[in-house]
Amino acid sequence: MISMQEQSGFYVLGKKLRGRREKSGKSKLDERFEQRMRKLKPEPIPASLDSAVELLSSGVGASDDLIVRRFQLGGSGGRSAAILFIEGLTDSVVVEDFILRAAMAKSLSDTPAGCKSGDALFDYIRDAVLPVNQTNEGKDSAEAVGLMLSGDTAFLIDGVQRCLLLNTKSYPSRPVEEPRTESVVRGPRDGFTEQLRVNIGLIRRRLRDPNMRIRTLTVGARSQTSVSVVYIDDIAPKAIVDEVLSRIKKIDIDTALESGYIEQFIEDNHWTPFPLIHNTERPDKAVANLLEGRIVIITDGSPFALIAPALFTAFYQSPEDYYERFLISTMIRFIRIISMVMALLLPSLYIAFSSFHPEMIPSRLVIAMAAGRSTVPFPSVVEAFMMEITMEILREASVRLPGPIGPTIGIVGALVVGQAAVQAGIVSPIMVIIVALTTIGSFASPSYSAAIALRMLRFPMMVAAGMFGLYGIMLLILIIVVHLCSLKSFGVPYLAPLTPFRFRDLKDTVIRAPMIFMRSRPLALQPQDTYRMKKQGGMAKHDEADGQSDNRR
Amino acid sequence: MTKRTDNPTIGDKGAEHGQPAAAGGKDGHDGTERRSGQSSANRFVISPRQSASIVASTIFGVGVLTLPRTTTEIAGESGWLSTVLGACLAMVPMLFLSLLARMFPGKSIVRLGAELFSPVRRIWIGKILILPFLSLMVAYWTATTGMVARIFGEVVTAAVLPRTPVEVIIGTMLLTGFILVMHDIETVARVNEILLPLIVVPILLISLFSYQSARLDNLFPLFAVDWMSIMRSSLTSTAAYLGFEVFTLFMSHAEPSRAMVRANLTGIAIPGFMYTLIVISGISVFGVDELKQLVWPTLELVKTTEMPGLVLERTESLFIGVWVTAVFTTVGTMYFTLTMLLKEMLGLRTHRWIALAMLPALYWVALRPQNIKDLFDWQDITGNYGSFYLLSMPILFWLIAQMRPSVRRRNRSAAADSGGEGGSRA
Amino acid sequence: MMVRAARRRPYNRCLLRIVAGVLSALLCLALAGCWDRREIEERTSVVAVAIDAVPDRPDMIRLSVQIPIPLKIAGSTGTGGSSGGDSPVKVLSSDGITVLDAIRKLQTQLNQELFYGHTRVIAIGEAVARKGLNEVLDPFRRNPQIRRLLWPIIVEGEGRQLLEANPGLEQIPTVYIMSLVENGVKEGYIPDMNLGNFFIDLSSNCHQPFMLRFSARKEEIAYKGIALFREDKMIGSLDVQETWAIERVRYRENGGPIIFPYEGDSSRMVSLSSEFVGQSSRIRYNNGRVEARIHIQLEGALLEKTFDDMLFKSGRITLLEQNAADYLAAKTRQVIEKLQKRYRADVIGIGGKIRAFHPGIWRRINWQSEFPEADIVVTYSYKLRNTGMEMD
Repeated sequence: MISMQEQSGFYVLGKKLRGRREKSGKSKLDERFEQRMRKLKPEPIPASLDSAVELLSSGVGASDDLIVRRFQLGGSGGRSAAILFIEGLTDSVVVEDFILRAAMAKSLSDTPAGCKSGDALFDYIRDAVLPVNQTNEGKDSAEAVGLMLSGDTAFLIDGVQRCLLLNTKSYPSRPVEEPRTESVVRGPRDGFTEQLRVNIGLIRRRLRDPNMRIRTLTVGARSQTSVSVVYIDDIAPKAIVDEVLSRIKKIDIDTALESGYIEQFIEDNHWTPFPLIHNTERPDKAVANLLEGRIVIITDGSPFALIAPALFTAFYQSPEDYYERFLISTMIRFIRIISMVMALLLPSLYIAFSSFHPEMIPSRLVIAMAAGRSTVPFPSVVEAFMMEITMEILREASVRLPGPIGPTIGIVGALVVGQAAVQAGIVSPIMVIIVALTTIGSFASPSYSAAIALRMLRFPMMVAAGMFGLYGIMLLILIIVVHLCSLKSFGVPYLAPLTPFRFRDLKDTVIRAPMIFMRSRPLALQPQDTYRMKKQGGMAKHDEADGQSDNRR
Repeated sequence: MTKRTDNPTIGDKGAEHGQPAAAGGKDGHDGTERRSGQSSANRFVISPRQSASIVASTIFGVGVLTLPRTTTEIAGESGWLSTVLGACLAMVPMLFLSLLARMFPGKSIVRLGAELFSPVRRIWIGKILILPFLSLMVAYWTATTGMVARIFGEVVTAAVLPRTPVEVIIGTMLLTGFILVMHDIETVARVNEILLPLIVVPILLISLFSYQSARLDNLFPLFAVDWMSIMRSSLTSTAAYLGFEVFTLFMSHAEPSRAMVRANLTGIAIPGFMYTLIVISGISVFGVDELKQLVWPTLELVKTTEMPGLVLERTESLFIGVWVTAVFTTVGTMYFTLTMLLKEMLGLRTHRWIALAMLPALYWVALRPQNIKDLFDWQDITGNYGSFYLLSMPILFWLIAQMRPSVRRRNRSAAADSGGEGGSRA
Repeated sequence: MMVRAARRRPYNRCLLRIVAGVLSALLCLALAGCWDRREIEERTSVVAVAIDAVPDRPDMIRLSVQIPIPLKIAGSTGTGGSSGGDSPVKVLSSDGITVLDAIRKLQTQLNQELFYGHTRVIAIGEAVARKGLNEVLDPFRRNPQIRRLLWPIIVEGEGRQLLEANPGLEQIPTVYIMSLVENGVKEGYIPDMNLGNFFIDLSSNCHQPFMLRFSARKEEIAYKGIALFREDKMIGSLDVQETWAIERVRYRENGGPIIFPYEGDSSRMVSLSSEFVGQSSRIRYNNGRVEARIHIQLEGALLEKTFDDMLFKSGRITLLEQNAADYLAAKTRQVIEKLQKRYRADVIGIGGKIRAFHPGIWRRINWQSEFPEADIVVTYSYKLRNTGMEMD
């Protein structure tokens, strides 16, 4: 076999060297990651309360939102202590009722004799006094400050060289609402929020699988954003999980405000209009993808969860497809595909037909089109560009317009501009129809980022059509196909299962096969656990149903 | 497996995590990696299906436009028979090539030929001896790629874009091919796999729809000419099946299994079937006499068909549009194999610089013929020499391989590690 | 991340991408020409062409084109519609030594370039057709814009008349001709002789070509049967009923209704519809003579009768069927005689049958000279299926 390797290329040596570099680099990865994340110089907690408070507050530069509350344990005369927390990140009720009240309670004077001072007192207070659900111990100032910045309350006791960190996190948040971008007719209405914990909770609630794993990493040297990688341990391929984790660890940026930051750092190819990682606001979609062996990445502060690896077929798949019965969902998928093709090609086909191949248009229509265009002073390319750009402006504007008038203005704008443009003889009536269809078509895609890719590609397509007609369109399509074929998302070919072809995966591509046939998970992802139904064709369910109907009879 | 092999990084990871990949030997097999047909942790393996697609879509090219005329010129009404026989004839070298690929897994014609022609320890002798063979292939592929691009340019300018200079059409086609060539073998395989249906389906539709204006009388008498003419025209129509020889380079990545052999033969059978359909509909619509007068009979065939539903009144521009795909797969794949061949011959690290260097060369070759008559003569010459050379070369190599058991044995022991299993999973 | 990106895209690939990018950008710039882009309104669509002889100049031809005026076509714009009774089409003519010469001169009268992608009819004057069409049709064979599915039509008198006549039922007269022919072809009473088929027959050595023949007056356009050709020269014509024999024998089509005197009595007329069912033929070569026996089965319904006899009785039906068959056979005999004796042109498709199914005979004979001597007998059988909505 060694000989085979050698024959395969003349440059085995180079490959090996590169491989070695890769491996040694990998072992250092965690180390580097740790280094990047730790910015403060870690210092031990001093024994004196004043200097300890001083140390911690200097950690945040004595910021004004740092609250330092000094008090005496067990009321007056007790040992002095202090809590430090950041205002706005903590729940003041918890701080007052369960920390201050407990620590200042008179009953504390009943402290067992062995626990009057030092470490023993510290342990006693942690274990017997404070009714807080989660406690940590900050070994040094850096860790303590880090946790304080995520909403914990630091508890310091005079004379003890330790720092107790109490979970009092409470962030300002909005409730779970219906997702704005991926609305469905049938299906759950809850969507992710900006809170990582809430989002994980939404997933957990749907998936009580003990094999679901959550690995939380911190991204952003300054923002210290939590990023959770969620996967099902015995389905998701290990290699991809590791790849995702290592790519996230390699992210070197000060702030990650949205999951889009993460996406752009970990995607395989930056030079592509197609999303190589999908995103969703819907917990049900996230769970469905977890069950297919994908990995969900949730970023704190963003309601959009990332899904990797992404396949091209997901462009036109919506969670609803699985909730409706298969004939209906298959038809709807066809309609989505048609509308996406329309969104991509319609204006350029108009250009190609009207200015290069008018013989293809039915004779009667040609005369009508010629009459319609006779007042238009521009070539059809310019006409199409004008209208499409106007439409994009309208669309962009209606997103920015405040609240309820947005859509109204959009519609009015489109109608008025279209009608006026036709009457003024700037565009032909057919062009208005084309633009309207294109715009509607691009909205039919269930994935916003996929639709936006097609919207973008429409313009080069129009240029190509303006140069060579159908030939130009075809060349550009070929280039896009080549590009799509070269894309991979975390090593999975983007066009799978169309190429590399897998017959069994076709059940969930253009068509959506009946549920009983959806026995295996998508094999393109190489899930560890291939089958989602243990019996052939979900027959267990079937037998049961038959049995019932027999009984009824 | 796809993901692991596709991305070397991930592949390495897989190994670290105790997955079977690359655990046994450098090129060891992974039990879980069956589906995608890839045999090792960091080597892409072309699945049988992809292999068939590469062969089929490379064969499909400009030949389909003139085939009804060229076959009937000699064989008359039996022209379709000669495409069938031509396909059978082309399957012979394909079979031997596939057998060679099974015998020498992981080796392309460059390495394989060198081993065949050299003593066991002195591979350089073989490398020198094989040089004339390879140079012939380089010349042939350069000429064919150029010719295909040129014919494409001629058709496009003649039929749909009369004022666009033919140079521009050739240039854009070669440039699009160049974009494909800049990618790696994996992408080329996938592009061929996904584009094949886009080539086959429209041609199938055209030949089906054209039966609305067909007159079956035209197909008779079934055996219009003597067997000699049919054989002669089969030989010429074999030239339409040239393109299968790109497998000489893809074979280094082919799965050394029986399924691959079968797939490659299917790869010839698909164009064989389509060609036959097109020739039959050409003859039945036009009759032999009219066919002889048409430069691009298949294009005229499209002109005589009306699309049901009448959404579009004339479909020839549409057909040309779809046919671009067929030409693209031919030009792109041949261009790719040409650069790969040169890369392996020169022992370079990457084929991309060669691709860039070949671009003007191909363009220059494409512009050599002065007119369409000249072009057809060139095409005949390259086709004749090409089919003679490419029909005989695989058989010759196979015979040499048979005569040199020592070389075979060495490769077989290597194949036992991967190929044996590859065979069993077919 | 950067390390990773660099490893995934080796250095030379980066560079090559740049090169490719620059190349394609250059190409795009160079291509701004868009050589073939001509807007739809920048093309003058020709819907029909007419070719005529010029009375005093035998070396010249007169080319006329019919051009629809988009703005006058109703429905094309909201405000459109034919205003002031103007014709929505314009007919222009020009003389020239060749077709292209005439077109060149025609072009000088026009602001936009002529476009033949929508040409549906080529009307040819009888005089030109009798001189031979090869030279005239040559440019139409070469021009990729010309459809193969358009209708070449011989016009009694001048071709231009067909372009100028306007029956008023369609806005564009050519559309009227087109749909007239297309419907006839669909029903099977007009032979499907489009340009492509004409070319095929012209180049084949077993048939003689023919074309549809029309007459055109000011407001009347009518189908008049077919014009017969020997090679590319028109030699005569058949009327509408006579072509039905060709429809049935050669194209296996329905033909039109059969109207014949019942029992030979011309005051008692019967009309039957005709639907083609099947055909069998036997061809032999006997004593230096081709012997063709063709039997055609038709069926249909009783459409009309002009007398009161109860026909729907078993005996009567047989008699009626027999009458129809005899009538058709006699008609066909006349047609074949005309073709053999007068025109010596095989348009009825016997030659094709011999070539396809009797290659032995075909090789031995020269059909062109053999056809007038051949013994061709066409027999019919007719099956009456029903009598319409009347009981008798």
